[in-house]
Amino acid sequence: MRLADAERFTRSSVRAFEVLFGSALVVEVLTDVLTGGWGIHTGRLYPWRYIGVVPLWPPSLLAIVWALTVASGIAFALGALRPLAPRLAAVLMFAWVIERYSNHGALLFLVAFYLALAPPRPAASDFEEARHPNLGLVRAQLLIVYVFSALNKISHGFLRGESLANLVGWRLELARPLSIAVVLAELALPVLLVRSPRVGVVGVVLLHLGFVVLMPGLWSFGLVMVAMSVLFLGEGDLPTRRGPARSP
Amino acid sequence: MLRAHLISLVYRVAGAVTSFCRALLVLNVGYCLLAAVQEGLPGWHMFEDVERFDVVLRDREGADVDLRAYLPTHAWLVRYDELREVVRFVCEKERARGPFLFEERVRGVRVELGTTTCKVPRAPR
Repeated sequence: MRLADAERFTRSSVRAFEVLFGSALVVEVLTDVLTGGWGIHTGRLYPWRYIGVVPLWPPSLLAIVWALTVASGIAFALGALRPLAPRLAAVLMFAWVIERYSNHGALLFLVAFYLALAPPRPAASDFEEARHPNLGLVRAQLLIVYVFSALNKISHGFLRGESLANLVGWRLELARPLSIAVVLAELALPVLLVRSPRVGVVGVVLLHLGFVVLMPGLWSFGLVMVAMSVLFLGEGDLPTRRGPARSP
Repeated sequence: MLRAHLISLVYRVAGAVTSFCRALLVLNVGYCLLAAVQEGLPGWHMFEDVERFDVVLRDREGADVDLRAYLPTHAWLVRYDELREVVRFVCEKERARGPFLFEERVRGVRVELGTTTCKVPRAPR
């Protein structure tokens, strides 16, 4: 990818991104429903990730937030309500994050916020010629997440393998090389996404499938990362409605 | 005339969005650098420093209390400070089962909870 193209996008990649990002919002709600979000708000469970900025919502308000988040996710996936869906999602995810903070919640908020700045309209005739700096921010955010995650892991001694061993109960002999592999993957994927987007997207999918197998509950994080990676795909990388992938 | 004004307005708005996005990117990277060096700031910290626990919480009958039952599924406890807060929550919620014996063998902590306080003492790593 040339620097001049950093803010240019194909219709097909933006549509694929919207479908995946909408799915991530729906999966985020499903995960919260299935893992005990309701129990937190009724007081049955420990207020996991609650940061105390605002009072815990009553369960009825939580139900409304869940419903609206699912609605905005479906709107994204269908490409409907374009100006409204990203703005609604940004407000909802912000409310969610200042109540129960999580990295995937923060990432969903940031992406929705960037989209809300200038909601994309892939059907516009000049879409592929025009610059989309806010979508460029989404691309940059993916690189930021991987690079800073890797740097934070390196600086906190993750490479010794003890964190992974403690997390999933593996022996250190296995956890250590896998810890190194995770950090190498996080450093390599930004380069791959820029230099060879198709390979990069496959790498992102494999890495996050691995995370999800090890740590169920990270589905929405994986989905939003895959969604963001799809934005690196260029012309011919994704099949279009007109036919199979074209060569540049 | 009106069309020219509208086109000019669109260009000005587009230019403002571009400048704003670039400023956001700079702020974003700057914040991430700060969060990388300042403990406690939310940043892209993902399971990089997971502490080891060996925990037992027993009620007054001597029965083990399952801390996981009070956590959402797939909640990953990574720090001893988080664990202390979960134990405190269980102790306060289940007062009728107290007093409790809390033991954390890795840090050599052994304390009775629920008589006067449910607060678990800090311990060195």
